[in-house]
Amino acid sequence: MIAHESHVSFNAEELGVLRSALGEVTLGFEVSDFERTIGMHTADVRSLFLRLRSLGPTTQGNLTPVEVRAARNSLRETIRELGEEEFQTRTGYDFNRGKAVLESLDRLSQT
Amino acid sequence: MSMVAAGAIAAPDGSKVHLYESVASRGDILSTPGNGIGRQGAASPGDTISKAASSIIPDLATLAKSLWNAVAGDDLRTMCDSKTSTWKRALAGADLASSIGDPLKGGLETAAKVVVKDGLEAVSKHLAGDAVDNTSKRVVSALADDASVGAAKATAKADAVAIAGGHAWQKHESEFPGWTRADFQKAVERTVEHPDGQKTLARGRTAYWSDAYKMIVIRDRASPDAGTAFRPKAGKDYFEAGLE
Repeated sequence: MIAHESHVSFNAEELGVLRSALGEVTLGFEVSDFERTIGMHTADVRSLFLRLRSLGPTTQGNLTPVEVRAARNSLRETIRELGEEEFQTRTGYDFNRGKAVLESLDRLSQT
Repeated sequence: MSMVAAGAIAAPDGSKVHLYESVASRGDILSTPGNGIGRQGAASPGDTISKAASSIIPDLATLAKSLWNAVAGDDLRTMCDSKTSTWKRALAGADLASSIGDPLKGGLETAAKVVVKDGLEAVSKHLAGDAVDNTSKRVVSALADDASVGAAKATAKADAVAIAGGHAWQKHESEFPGWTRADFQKAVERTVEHPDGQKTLARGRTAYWSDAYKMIVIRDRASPDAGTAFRPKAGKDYFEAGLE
């Protein structure tokens, strides 16, 4: 991922991990206090998920800082909820890969 | 000798027809010069005619016989020769036909038998082959179907046991209030066997949806538990839109 002044660019795999996490929080499992936990309204998260899904699995994409924050929180909750035993089965991505993307987003938010 | 006694022939009515009158009517022939017939000499016309007739009749008979032999004999000889030639040719043809025909007949019969036998054998083999082939295919297909069904059922049961015996039941038990692990296992098995929705996912995974159980089952070969099963928050929307 590459941080720009107004947006962050993600490669296809990174975007895929985030897309799966957004799908899990909107359709898969319950997130307590959703708006505060995710940092975005449920409808907006759902719209973001649908937009990323429309890009297809092999396309890179850009997210705004607000979207990056919602995606990062969604991935954090997904890793916590699904755990190592179920993350890959539901998202299709290796659990450690998910954690690596989350760590990259954490570093990005600290800069 | 009277002319009447010598030259007359009794007619049916008893009257007498004089032969000499008849002969005399040919007097232009009979009275040719030098033949002793006619008006020369002192013999009576009846004697002359009688003598001439007796000399002419044998000649006529001889002539008729000669003519018959000459004419009818040639015809008969020609006819006989012709018939003989035809008969000889016919006999020769018959002999030839017999000499050739018997082996030829035998040969043809043998050839026909061989052709028919080979043909029937070929047809029989072909039909038998098709029948055997078709039967074999049906049997193999049925066995394959049975084996496939049996394998699918066995795999579904094995995966259900693995999923219910793994993390999924402990993790998602609260989503199935009142259920036992055995109920969960049975629902997983039935969902895989008779899904209301099925889709292939990335990285070797397959998802199954059950309308009755509101359950999704994800089979994942990479998972040590063979996958997972749970009730997603959005129900079937998750199955249709939340997975890729």
